[in-house]
Amino acid sequence: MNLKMRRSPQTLLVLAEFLQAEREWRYGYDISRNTGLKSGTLYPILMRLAEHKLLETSWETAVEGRPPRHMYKLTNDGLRYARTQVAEVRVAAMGEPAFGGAGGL
Amino acid sequence: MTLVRRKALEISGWVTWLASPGCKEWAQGLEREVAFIDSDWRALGWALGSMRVLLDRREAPLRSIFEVPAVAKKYFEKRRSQIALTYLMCSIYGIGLSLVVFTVLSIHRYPMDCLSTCLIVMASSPMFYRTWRYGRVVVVQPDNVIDCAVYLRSEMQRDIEFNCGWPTWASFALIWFSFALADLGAKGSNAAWVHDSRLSLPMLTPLINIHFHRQKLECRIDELTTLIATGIEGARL
Repeated sequence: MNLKMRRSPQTLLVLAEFLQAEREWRYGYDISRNTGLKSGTLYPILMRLAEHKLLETSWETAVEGRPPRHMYKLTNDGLRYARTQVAEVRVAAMGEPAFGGAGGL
Repeated sequence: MTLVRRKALEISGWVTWLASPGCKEWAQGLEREVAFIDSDWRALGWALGSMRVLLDRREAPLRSIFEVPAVAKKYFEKRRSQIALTYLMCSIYGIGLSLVVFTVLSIHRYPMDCLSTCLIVMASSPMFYRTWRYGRVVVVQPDNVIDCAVYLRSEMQRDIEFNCGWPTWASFALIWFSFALADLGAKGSNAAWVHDSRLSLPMLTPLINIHFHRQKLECRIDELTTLIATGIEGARL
Protein backbone atom coordinates (compact mmCIF):
# COMPACT_ATOMS: atom_id res chain seq x y z
CA MET A 1 0.00 0.00 0.00
CA ASN A 2 1.37 3.36 -0.94
CA LEU A 3 2.12 5.56 2.05
CA LYS A 4 2.66 8.70 -0.04
CA MET A 5 -1.09 9.35 0.01
CA ARG A 6 -1.86 12.52 1.94
CA ARG A 7 -4.49 12.09 4.64
CA SER A 8 -6.60 15.21 4.61
CA PRO A 9 -9.96 15.54 6.41
CA GLN A 10 -11.66 15.63 2.99
CA THR A 11 -9.96 12.39 1.92
CA LEU A 12 -11.13 10.77 5.13
CA LEU A 13 -14.67 11.95 4.45
CA VAL A 14 -14.56 10.35 1.01
CA LEU A 15 -13.08 7.10 2.37
CA ALA A 16 -15.71 6.96 5.11
CA GLU A 17 -18.40 7.51 2.49
CA PHE A 18 -17.11 4.59 0.43
CA LEU A 19 -17.14 2.42 3.54
CA GLN A 20 -20.88 3.04 3.90
CA ALA A 21 -21.45 0.66 0.99
CA GLU A 22 -18.13 -1.10 0.51
CA ARG A 23 -18.84 -3.26 -2.52
CA GLU A 24 -21.13 -0.94 -4.42
CA TRP A 25 -20.28 1.28 -7.35
CA ARG A 26 -20.82 4.95 -6.48
CA TYR A 27 -21.51 8.03 -8.59
CA GLY A 28 -19.52 11.26 -8.23
CA TYR A 29 -22.51 13.48 -7.53
CA ASP A 30 -23.89 11.11 -4.87
CA ILE A 31 -20.55 11.14 -3.05
CA SER A 32 -20.42 14.91 -3.34
CA ARG A 33 -23.94 15.29 -1.93
CA ASN A 34 -23.32 12.91 0.97
CA THR A 35 -19.95 14.37 1.94
CA GLY A 36 -20.76 18.00 1.17
CA LEU A 37 -17.61 18.29 -0.96
CA LYS A 38 -17.66 20.35 -4.14
CA SER A 39 -16.65 18.75 -7.44
CA GLY A 40 -13.39 20.71 -7.47
CA THR A 41 -12.39 19.14 -4.15
CA LEU A 42 -13.85 15.68 -4.64
CA TYR A 43 -12.42 14.78 -8.04
CA PRO A 44 -8.74 15.48 -7.26
CA ILE A 45 -9.18 13.15 -4.25
CA LEU A 46 -10.76 10.44 -6.42
CA MET A 47 -8.01 10.88 -9.00
CA ARG A 48 -5.33 10.55 -6.33
CA LEU A 49 -6.96 7.42 -4.92
CA ALA A 50 -7.15 5.90 -8.41
CA GLU A 51 -3.52 6.84 -9.07
CA HIS A 52 -2.50 4.86 -5.98
CA LYS A 53 -4.62 1.91 -7.14
CA LEU A 54 -6.96 2.34 -4.19
CA LEU A 55 -9.96 3.14 -6.36
CA GLU A 56 -11.28 1.53 -9.50
CA THR A 57 -13.39 3.30 -12.05
CA SER A 58 -15.87 2.05 -14.59
CA TRP A 59 -18.45 3.37 -17.04
CA GLU A 60 -22.05 2.44 -16.49
CA THR A 61 -23.60 0.38 -19.28
CA ALA A 62 -25.58 2.73 -21.50
CA VAL A 63 -29.32 2.85 -20.95
CA GLU A 64 -31.50 4.30 -23.69
CA GLY A 65 -32.10 8.02 -23.30
CA ARG A 66 -29.58 8.35 -20.49
CA PRO A 67 -25.83 8.99 -20.85
CA PRO A 68 -23.57 6.42 -19.14
CA ARG A 69 -22.14 7.62 -15.85
CA HIS A 70 -18.67 7.22 -14.40
CA MET A 71 -18.67 5.00 -11.32
CA TYR A 72 -16.20 4.46 -8.52
CA LYS A 73 -15.47 1.67 -6.07
CA LEU A 74 -12.61 1.02 -3.64
CA THR A 75 -10.25 -1.82 -4.58
CA ASN A 76 -9.32 -4.44 -1.99
CA ASP A 77 -6.21 -2.42 -1.15
CA GLY A 78 -8.39 0.67 -1.02
CA LEU A 79 -10.82 -0.97 1.38
CA ARG A 80 -7.99 -2.01 3.69
CA TYR A 81 -6.51 1.49 3.49
CA ALA A 82 -9.87 3.16 4.13
CA ARG A 83 -10.64 0.94 7.13
CA THR A 84 -7.21 1.62 8.65
CA GLN A 85 -7.38 5.37 8.09
CA VAL A 86 -10.94 5.78 9.34
CA ALA A 87 -10.24 3.56 12.38
CA GLU A 88 -7.08 5.54 13.22
CA VAL A 89 -8.99 8.79 13.17
CA ARG A 90 -11.78 7.33 15.32
CA VAL A 91 -9.26 6.06 17.88
CA ALA A 92 -7.49 9.42 17.90
CA ALA A 93 -10.81 11.22 18.35
CA MET A 94 -11.76 8.93 21.25
CA GLY A 95 -8.38 9.58 22.91
CA GLU A 96 -8.86 13.32 22.81
CA PRO A 97 -10.53 14.66 25.95
CA ALA A 98 -13.76 16.54 25.48
CA PHE A 99 -13.57 20.38 25.75
CA GLY A 100 -9.81 20.38 25.17
CA GLY A 101 -9.02 18.54 28.44
CA ALA A 102 -7.04 19.73 31.44
CA GLY A 103 -3.86 20.34 29.41
CA GLY A 104 -4.87 23.85 28.58
CA LEU A 105 -5.68 24.80 32.13
CA MET B 1 -33.61 23.71 -20.78
CA THR B 2 -32.82 26.82 -18.76
CA LEU B 3 -29.99 29.20 -19.58
CA VAL B 4 -28.14 28.27 -16.37
CA ARG B 5 -28.27 24.55 -17.17
CA ARG B 6 -27.17 25.22 -20.75
CA LYS B 7 -24.19 27.21 -19.47
CA ALA B 8 -23.34 24.41 -17.02
CA LEU B 9 -23.33 21.90 -19.88
CA GLU B 10 -21.26 24.22 -22.05
CA ILE B 11 -18.66 24.72 -19.31
CA SER B 12 -18.36 20.97 -18.65
CA GLY B 13 -18.07 20.37 -22.39
CA TRP B 14 -15.22 22.86 -22.58
CA VAL B 15 -13.52 21.28 -19.56
CA THR B 16 -13.66 17.86 -21.24
CA TRP B 17 -12.28 19.31 -24.44
CA LEU B 18 -9.43 21.15 -22.71
CA ALA B 19 -8.54 18.44 -20.17
CA SER B 20 -5.15 16.77 -20.59
CA PRO B 21 -5.20 13.20 -22.03
CA GLY B 22 -4.68 11.65 -18.59
CA CYS B 23 -7.65 13.55 -17.11
CA LYS B 24 -10.04 13.23 -20.05
CA GLU B 25 -11.93 10.30 -18.54
CA TRP B 26 -12.39 12.18 -15.26
CA ALA B 27 -13.56 15.30 -17.05
CA GLN B 28 -16.07 13.21 -19.00
CA GLY B 29 -17.27 11.67 -15.75
CA LEU B 30 -17.80 15.15 -14.31
CA GLU B 31 -19.60 16.26 -17.45
CA ARG B 32 -22.02 13.32 -17.38
CA GLU B 33 -23.00 14.03 -13.79
CA VAL B 34 -24.40 17.44 -14.76
CA ALA B 35 -27.41 15.74 -16.33
CA PHE B 36 -28.23 14.04 -13.02
CA ILE B 37 -28.18 17.16 -10.83
CA ASP B 38 -31.70 18.42 -10.16
CA SER B 39 -30.99 22.06 -9.36
CA ASP B 40 -29.77 24.21 -12.25
CA TRP B 41 -27.62 26.39 -10.02
CA ARG B 42 -26.08 23.36 -8.36
CA ALA B 43 -25.33 22.00 -11.83
CA LEU B 44 -23.58 25.28 -12.66
CA GLY B 45 -21.59 25.10 -9.42
CA TRP B 46 -20.62 21.51 -10.27
CA ALA B 47 -19.50 22.54 -13.76
CA LEU B 48 -17.48 25.46 -12.43
CA GLY B 49 -15.85 23.18 -9.84
CA SER B 50 -14.95 20.72 -12.58
CA MET B 51 -12.57 23.35 -14.00
CA ARG B 52 -10.16 22.27 -11.25
CA VAL B 53 -9.38 19.23 -13.44
CA LEU B 54 -7.72 21.60 -15.92
CA LEU B 55 -4.98 22.33 -13.39
CA ASP B 56 -3.96 18.70 -13.48
CA ARG B 57 -1.88 18.11 -16.59
CA ARG B 58 -1.01 14.48 -17.22
CA GLU B 59 -0.35 12.18 -20.12
CA ALA B 60 -2.69 9.33 -21.10
CA PRO B 61 -2.11 6.46 -18.64
CA LEU B 62 0.20 3.58 -19.56
CA ARG B 63 -1.78 0.34 -19.58
CA SER B 64 1.02 -2.12 -20.36
CA ILE B 65 4.81 -2.26 -20.29
CA PHE B 66 4.77 -2.92 -24.06
CA GLU B 67 3.57 0.65 -24.61
CA VAL B 68 6.79 1.96 -23.02
CA PRO B 69 9.06 1.99 -26.14
CA ALA B 70 6.53 4.12 -28.06
CA VAL B 71 6.16 6.48 -25.10
CA ALA B 72 9.94 6.65 -24.72
CA LYS B 73 10.37 7.46 -28.41
CA LYS B 74 7.81 10.26 -28.17
CA TYR B 75 9.36 11.60 -24.95
CA PHE B 76 12.91 11.71 -26.36
CA GLU B 77 11.73 13.32 -29.61
CA LYS B 78 9.91 15.99 -27.62
CA ARG B 79 12.93 16.49 -25.42
CA ARG B 80 15.23 16.94 -28.39
CA SER B 81 12.95 19.61 -29.86
CA GLN B 82 12.63 21.26 -26.44
CA ILE B 83 16.41 21.40 -26.12
CA ALA B 84 16.65 23.04 -29.55
CA LEU B 85 14.01 25.58 -28.48
CA THR B 86 15.84 26.16 -25.18
CA TYR B 87 19.06 26.86 -27.09
CA LEU B 88 17.21 29.38 -29.25
CA MET B 89 15.61 31.06 -26.22
CA CYS B 90 18.96 31.14 -24.41
CA SER B 91 20.57 32.78 -27.46
CA ILE B 92 17.87 35.48 -27.63
CA TYR B 93 18.08 36.01 -23.88
CA GLY B 94 21.89 36.11 -24.06
CA ILE B 95 21.88 38.73 -26.82
CA GLY B 96 19.32 40.83 -24.92
CA LEU B 97 21.34 40.51 -21.75
CA SER B 98 24.54 41.55 -23.54
CA LEU B 99 22.77 44.68 -24.83
CA VAL B 100 21.60 45.55 -21.32
CA VAL B 101 25.08 44.95 -19.89
CA PHE B 102 26.60 47.13 -22.58
CA THR B 103 24.06 49.94 -22.02
CA VAL B 104 24.39 49.86 -18.25
CA LEU B 105 28.14 49.53 -17.97
CA SER B 106 29.21 51.81 -20.79
CA ILE B 107 26.56 54.54 -20.87
CA HIS B 108 24.67 55.00 -17.58
CA ARG B 109 26.93 53.52 -14.88
CA TYR B 110 24.48 53.80 -12.00
CA PRO B 111 25.76 51.66 -9.07
CA MET B 112 22.39 49.94 -8.54
CA ASP B 113 22.16 49.19 -12.26
CA CYS B 114 25.65 47.73 -12.32
CA LEU B 115 24.93 45.57 -9.27
CA SER B 116 21.65 44.24 -10.61
CA THR B 117 23.15 43.57 -14.05
CA CYS B 118 26.02 41.65 -12.48
CA LEU B 119 23.52 39.61 -10.46
CA ILE B 120 21.49 38.82 -13.58
CA VAL B 121 24.64 37.67 -15.38
CA MET B 122 25.68 35.62 -12.33
CA ALA B 123 22.27 33.94 -12.14
CA SER B 124 22.00 33.34 -15.87
CA SER B 125 25.46 31.88 -16.45
CA PRO B 126 24.90 28.61 -14.51
CA MET B 127 21.58 28.24 -16.33
CA PHE B 128 23.31 28.52 -19.70
CA TYR B 129 25.99 26.08 -18.59
CA ARG B 130 23.49 23.53 -17.27
CA THR B 131 21.35 23.80 -20.40
CA TRP B 132 24.40 23.13 -22.53
CA ARG B 133 25.38 20.10 -20.41
CA TYR B 134 21.82 18.72 -20.34
CA GLY B 135 21.54 18.99 -24.12
CA ARG B 136 24.84 17.24 -24.76
CA VAL B 137 23.69 13.81 -23.54
CA VAL B 138 23.20 11.29 -26.36
CA VAL B 139 19.99 9.32 -25.90
CA VAL B 140 20.27 5.58 -26.55
CA GLN B 141 17.09 3.59 -26.18
CA PRO B 142 17.52 -0.05 -25.04
CA ASP B 143 15.71 -2.83 -26.93
CA ASN B 144 14.35 -4.78 -23.95
CA VAL B 145 11.05 -3.30 -22.69
CA ILE B 146 11.97 -3.49 -19.00
CA ASP B 147 15.40 -1.93 -19.61
CA CYS B 148 13.69 0.69 -21.73
CA ALA B 149 11.23 1.47 -18.91
CA VAL B 150 14.07 1.66 -16.35
CA TYR B 151 16.05 3.95 -18.66
CA LEU B 152 13.04 6.15 -19.40
CA ARG B 153 12.30 6.47 -15.68
CA SER B 154 15.91 7.45 -14.89
CA GLU B 155 15.87 10.02 -17.72
CA MET B 156 12.60 11.46 -16.44
CA GLN B 157 14.07 11.71 -12.95
CA ARG B 158 17.06 13.51 -14.43
CA ASP B 159 14.67 15.78 -16.31
CA ILE B 160 12.94 16.70 -13.01
CA GLU B 161 16.28 17.28 -11.30
CA PHE B 162 17.43 19.49 -14.14
CA ASN B 163 14.30 21.46 -14.91
CA CYS B 164 12.56 21.54 -11.54
CA GLY B 165 15.43 21.22 -9.04
CA TRP B 166 16.59 23.86 -6.58
CA PRO B 167 19.33 25.34 -8.86
CA THR B 168 16.64 26.30 -11.38
CA TRP B 169 14.45 27.89 -8.71
CA ALA B 170 17.49 29.63 -7.16
CA SER B 171 18.49 31.06 -10.56
CA PHE B 172 14.96 32.29 -11.20
CA ALA B 173 14.71 33.83 -7.72
CA LEU B 174 18.06 35.59 -8.18
CA ILE B 175 17.11 36.92 -11.63
CA TRP B 176 13.78 38.14 -10.25
CA PHE B 177 15.54 39.86 -7.34
CA SER B 178 18.01 41.44 -9.78
CA PHE B 179 15.15 42.79 -11.90
CA ALA B 180 13.64 44.30 -8.75
CA LEU B 181 16.99 45.93 -7.96
CA ALA B 182 17.27 47.16 -11.54
CA ASP B 183 13.82 48.67 -11.19
CA LEU B 184 14.94 50.54 -8.06
CA GLY B 185 18.01 51.74 -9.95
CA ALA B 186 15.88 52.90 -12.85
CA LYS B 187 14.15 55.45 -10.62
CA GLY B 188 17.28 57.62 -10.79
CA SER B 189 18.19 56.68 -14.32
CA ASN B 190 17.11 58.25 -17.57
CA ALA B 191 17.01 54.88 -19.26
CA ALA B 192 13.94 53.59 -17.43
CA TRP B 193 12.82 51.44 -20.37
CA VAL B 194 15.87 49.21 -19.87
CA HIS B 195 14.74 48.39 -16.35
CA ASP B 196 11.01 48.23 -16.75
CA SER B 197 9.95 45.57 -14.23
CA ARG B 198 7.22 44.41 -16.61
CA LEU B 199 10.06 42.86 -18.61
CA SER B 200 10.37 40.28 -15.84
CA LEU B 201 6.72 39.19 -16.16
CA PRO B 202 7.35 36.76 -19.03
CA MET B 203 9.52 34.87 -16.55
CA LEU B 204 6.35 33.65 -14.89
CA THR B 205 5.60 31.53 -17.95
CA PRO B 206 8.53 29.12 -17.48
CA LEU B 207 7.69 28.88 -13.77
CA ILE B 208 4.12 27.77 -14.51
CA ASN B 209 5.46 25.47 -17.20
CA ILE B 210 7.95 23.93 -14.75
CA HIS B 211 5.11 23.17 -12.33
CA PHE B 212 3.02 21.33 -14.95
CA HIS B 213 6.09 19.61 -16.40
CA ARG B 214 7.01 18.21 -12.99
CA GLN B 215 3.43 17.07 -12.35
CA LYS B 216 3.31 15.16 -15.65
CA LEU B 217 6.70 13.52 -15.12
CA GLU B 218 5.95 12.46 -11.56
CA CYS B 219 2.75 10.74 -12.65
CA ARG B 220 4.61 8.94 -15.43
CA ILE B 221 7.44 7.89 -13.07
CA ASP B 222 4.90 6.36 -10.66
CA GLU B 223 3.29 4.45 -13.53
CA LEU B 224 6.66 3.24 -14.80
CA THR B 225 7.66 2.09 -11.30
CA THR B 226 4.48 -0.01 -11.06
CA LEU B 227 4.94 -1.42 -14.58
CA ILE B 228 8.62 -2.25 -13.97
CA ALA B 229 7.73 -4.08 -10.73
CA THR B 230 4.96 -6.02 -12.51
CA GLY B 231 7.23 -6.73 -15.51
CA ILE B 232 10.08 -8.04 -13.35
CA GLU B 233 7.68 -10.22 -11.38
CA GLY B 234 6.17 -11.57 -14.64
CA ALA B 235 9.63 -12.32 -16.03
CA ARG B 236 10.52 -14.30 -12.88
CA LEU B 237 7.39 -16.45 -13.19
